[in-house]
Amino acid sequence: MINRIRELRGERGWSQADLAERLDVSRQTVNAIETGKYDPSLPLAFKIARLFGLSIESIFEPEPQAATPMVSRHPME
Amino acid sequence: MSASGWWEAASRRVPIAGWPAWARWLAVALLYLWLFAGFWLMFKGSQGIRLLGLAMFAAGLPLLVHSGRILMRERSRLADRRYVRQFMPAMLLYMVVMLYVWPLQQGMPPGWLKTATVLSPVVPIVWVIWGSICYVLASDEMQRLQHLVALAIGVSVVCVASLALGFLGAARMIVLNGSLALMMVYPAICITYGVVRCVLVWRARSE
Repeated sequence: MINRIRELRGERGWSQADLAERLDVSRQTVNAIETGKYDPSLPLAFKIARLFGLSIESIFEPEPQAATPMVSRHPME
Repeated sequence: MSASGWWEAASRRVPIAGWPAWARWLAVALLYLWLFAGFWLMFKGSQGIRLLGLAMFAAGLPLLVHSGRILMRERSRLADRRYVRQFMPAMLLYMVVMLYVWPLQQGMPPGWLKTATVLSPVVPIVWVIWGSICYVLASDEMQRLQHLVALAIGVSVVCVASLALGFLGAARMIVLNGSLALMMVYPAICITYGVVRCVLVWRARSE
């Protein structure tokens, strides 16, 4: 999952520690979310969205998938 | 002001978080050295030296905890402060009990007093475990995941090691002291858990 948290945080002039304090999580967790190493749970994602006053889907979006066929084919075909 | 409170106030005045990484790591390494020196003196020296070792250990523990937080550039949260308040006195009590109470059982006749004296170190250890449980429950979701993974790997490593030692002992290839082996289970889990947790934190910290 990719997200805009670093950008949104930067716009507000907050450090990672500031954001961590507002979300009641560790700075390490904020860093891991920003770098895509950890995907937050739904409650934390809602908390982040509420804090920035945006919807979840405007902050988080799935990684662009590699081109895969829409219909799965039997391996023997 | 408590030692931990003093250290937090001092670290605000001295911008340790702004130091280069090598200086922060060196500061923590020196603190570990200080802690081990205190630990060593507690068990090797005379009465006065033991007290000095205990004092060094007592001063080193809060410094080490807060240095670790500074190293990670983490602000101290309520759960962290509560953990320090529970962990420090419990560990100090354990040291005092091991140094001054547990040796008293050697001349005692069997009975409830001897049983209580022999089991007295378990009380501060239960206190430490209680503090650790509260700390894990107060951690955020990613930290809980790290605790779980570190504990699972740590326990697995200790299980495999104890199984291997057990087989070697059963085949009489090594002589095992059963009491010592059982007493080493908790510290072994703590060490393996700690090492794995450090690796997980290290992997998550790159920016």
